[in-house]
Formats: sequence, C-alpha cells, structure tokens
Amino acid sequence: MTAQDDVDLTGVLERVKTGVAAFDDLVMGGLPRARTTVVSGTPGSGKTVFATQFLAHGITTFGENGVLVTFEEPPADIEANMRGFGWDLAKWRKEGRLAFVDASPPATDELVIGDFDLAGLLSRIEHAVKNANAKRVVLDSLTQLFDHFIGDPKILRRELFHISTALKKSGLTVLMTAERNSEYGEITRHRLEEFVADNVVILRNVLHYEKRRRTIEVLKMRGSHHAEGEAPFTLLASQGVVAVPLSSLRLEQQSSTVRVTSGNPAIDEMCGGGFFRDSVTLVSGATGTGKTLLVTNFLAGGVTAGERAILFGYEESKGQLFRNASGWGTDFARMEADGKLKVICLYPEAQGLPDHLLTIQSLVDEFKPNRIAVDSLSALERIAPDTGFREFLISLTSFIKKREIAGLCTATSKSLIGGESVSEQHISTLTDSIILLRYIQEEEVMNRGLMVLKMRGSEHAKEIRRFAIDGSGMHLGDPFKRAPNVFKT
Amino acid sequence: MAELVLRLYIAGNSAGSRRAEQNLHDLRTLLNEAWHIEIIDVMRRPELAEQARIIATPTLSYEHSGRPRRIVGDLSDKKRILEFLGIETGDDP
Repeated sequence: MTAQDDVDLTGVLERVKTGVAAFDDLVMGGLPRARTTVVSGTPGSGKTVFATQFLAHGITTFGENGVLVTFEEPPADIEANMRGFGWDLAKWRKEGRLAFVDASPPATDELVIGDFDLAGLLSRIEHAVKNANAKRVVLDSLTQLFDHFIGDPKILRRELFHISTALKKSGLTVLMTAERNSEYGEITRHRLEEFVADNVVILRNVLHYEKRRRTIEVLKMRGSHHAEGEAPFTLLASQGVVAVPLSSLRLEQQSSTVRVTSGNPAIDEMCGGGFFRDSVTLVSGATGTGKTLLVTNFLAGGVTAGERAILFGYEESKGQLFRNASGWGTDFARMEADGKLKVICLYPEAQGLPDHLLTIQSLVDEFKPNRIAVDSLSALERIAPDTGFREFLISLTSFIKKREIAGLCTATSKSLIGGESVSEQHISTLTDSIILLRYIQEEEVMNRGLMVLKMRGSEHAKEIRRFAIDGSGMHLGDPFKRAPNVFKT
Repeated sequence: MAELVLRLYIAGNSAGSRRAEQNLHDLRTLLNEAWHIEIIDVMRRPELAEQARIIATPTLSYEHSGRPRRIVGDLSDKKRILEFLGIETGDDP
C-alpha cells in the first residue's frame, strides 16, 4: 500500500487493484469497489487489453473471479488474441474462474420495433456472475452495443444505467469500455460516460512526431482523489499494459550522504569528495570534449572500488566503446568477463521512450548495479521531443534514486564552443549535479575546460579547470585565469 | 409436417413483456394449428437466454432451417411481424 495508510480510511472507498501497478498509484490504490469505470479510447488504444488485464490479475493475483461480456468478438477469438499477453482465458474458463457472456452479433436476421429493455443481457450477466462467483465484470465494448441497436440510443442509455446500478448493488466492480472518435474531443461516442460512469479513464494512442505515444489519463473519479494528466504506458507481450510510473507523484527518495568516486580523483575533489551515492549527475559538452571518457572513468572507478556498473549506450556500438576505453587504459572486456560491468548498446530508434525506460529498469533490477551511466540523453531526445522526453527523464532519475545507485548521464551541446543544449534545459533541474565540458579558445590554442556547475547538497569548486586527454585518460590542470564567458547554461 | 416454433423471451412482469405476450396471443389467432408457442422468462431461465444469446427483451425468435429471425420489441405492429417472419395467413391482419 502507498501513502493512504497514514490517513483515516473511514468512508474511503475500498480499492480493487487493476494489476497495472503504476495505474493503481494514479488512482490511489486501485479502482473503487462496487463502482463503474468507463475506459474510453480510439480503436487500437488498448482498451480490451486493459480490461482483460483487470480480469486476469483479479483471477491470478487477488483471487477475484471475473465475467467478460463481449459485444464485438466471440469468446474464442478473445481467448486466442489474449494468449500473447500470457493470459490463458480458456484455462480459467474451464476452471470456472472466468465466465463469458457472448453478446457478439449472432447470425440472425433481426428487426427492432418499439420499446425494449436489456433484461436478457442483465440476467445472463448475473447468471454468469453466480456461476463463476465473480467479483469483477467487464463489458467490452459498449460502442458495439450501440451499433447493434443503432436506432435507440435513448433506450440503451436507460438500460445501461439500469445494468450498471444492478451490478454495483451486487458489490461488483464494473469496467466498461467505449470508443471515441478522436484523441482529443468527445469523451466517448454516444456520451456514455455521462450516465453510467462513476469513473472515467482515457487511453490515448497519439501520433507524435512520427512516433506512437500511448498514455493513460484518469479524467474523473467520483468521490476520490486521483492524479491528473496523462501518464505514458506501453503494451508489452506477456505483460499487457505497463504504465510508466511518474516520479512526480512521490518525492520520497532518501538523500544519501555517502560519497562515491567519479572515477577521477581530481573531479572528486572538485565535487567536495565525490558524487553522492543516490544522485544523478549530468555531464554536458560539445562533441569531442570528453563526455564518453568521463563515463568510462565513472564506470571503471566503480568497478575498481568493487562495485557493479551498467552502461546504456545510444550513440556508439559496444565495439567502439570498448575500443575507446582501452585507448584510455581501461579494459572493459575484462570487467565484463568478471561480471562487474554490463554494457548495453541500443539504437534510440529501436523502440519508443517508454520501452527504453522499461528496458533500463528491468536490466537494472536484473543486474543490480551500484552505478549506471547513460550515454547520451541527447540521442534519446531525438526520438521523442518535448513532453515525452521530459517524462522519460523524470521517471529515469527517480528510478535511479529509488534504487539508491549513482547515475551519470551525458548530453551533447549543439554548438562546439559554449552554448546550451535542449537537453540541458530539461535536465538541469532534474539532476543533482552538473558538470560542464567546454572548448575554450586561448589566443591561437583550443583548450578544454571543466567546471562543476551545480552539486546539490554539497560545496564544490567554483573554478574552471583546464584539462587534457591522453592515452591514460583525463588530466586536470590549472584553472583558467581569464576564460571567455562560455559556461552559461 | 415439422412443428413450427415461436419462442418469446420476456423479462418477468415488465409492462413491455406483458404487452408482447398479449400481442403474441392476438397474433396466434391469425396462425394455423401447426404453430407452437413457447414463452421463456429470462429472469427465471437465464441459461436459456444464454443458449439463445438473447440480449434484449422482449424478443420473438423464429428458429427454422435458415438464419433464425428475431423481432425485438413489444410486437405491436402485427403486419410487419408476419412479413418479417415470412408467415402467410389467409386474411389480412
């Protein structure tokens, strides 16, 4: 359970966990029991997967059986389609933990004249609930029901309200899906949510800069608080809907005072004794200023101190990274053979940002490193500008801190001399420390300069240090006396 | 000659169900002896509603060798019902 343990629970709605962990956090623990939630989205936005997951997790994790009322596809098709997510609906059906109500269009000629009700449907649902001893009911999707009885939307509204009320009275938690025409517009076709829904959840699948961006938003939650705004999610084979947790919901990371080495004694000194163990440091600089070298030092410094380190590279191949490292006297291959280092190189374009985040999270949880480096954020920013990238960063930094590991990320500034990068603007407030690498012209010579711009919770050196790179790595020299103003961000 | 069956699915004592029953009773007088009529209350026999995949009530179902024909509603328009079911009667209803 989360924060609500501390508050008075009297009168607070009991929660039903959906099994989408980060979503349950958005709605303060789960969907309210004995209420109706409408999940709305355009075709292909993941409604059926979300709804089925709600039933699947009820059955497998919480011992709550379910009823799936299907208006579109026959049960056999749904069983086949959902197998890919690892949900064996057919098995649960045979075990009596899941019951279907097949309300898909039957092969009959039908004529509708005059008033009618949906008592047939309700009695079948109640019958199925009784047979399966169900606690959760899904109706997927109401839009097909409206298409079936296309001439009588008023009757359907009245009848669905009646069904919703009857199911809630039996203590059932009901999830109904509905289609919408556009990502930003009317909540559902036929405005279903106005008469049946206690809660409204919207799934979006927006084309954004040629990338699909899936988000989930809790629009309304009667009698309860919920997080506002869109949270990114992804559809994973064998898992279904995986919402990406947004750190802004919880700012509860511990702040450690334990220092770890940056891999370079001189930089440790400039930082007041090294990086903090659970902090994220940003190294920003133009191409060729030595960012990847700093990353190499950071990883090697950790491994030398007996730590485990992981690197996510998005700009260079593993071979290139290993070659670079050995050029600076660091043997990545041996570290990896010893199981102390793990290097993962991926094309940024290989997957969407939420998937990149999940890749990082699952590999970190698997390898359990003490430090992590990401080289570079700018490469990732390329595939999802603005909102998506910011969400990614927030999630990544909070994840790193929550695991109490030291993080180092790089960002490439666009101009060679001085200048800021877009990533910097996003990142600077999210990272604990910032190290700037810049080219500095002195008369006829181009030198490199390093500065610790920010070090949260610690004193740090204020000067700009000259540095050189050779076959044994980075060497810091004297401070610049009269450096031009190239360190502004 | 095979028995011709018309099944009327109703829901308890709702006004619509009672009207449909009454209308079907009136309609019965226009049909010949071969027609057999069954009334099924979905609230008492949900498993039969499930079997026939009934959603709306009242529903009149005519199951024959071809695609079943179904009429949803209270059966007040007798002429259209007979036309739709393809049942011929001697006189104009």
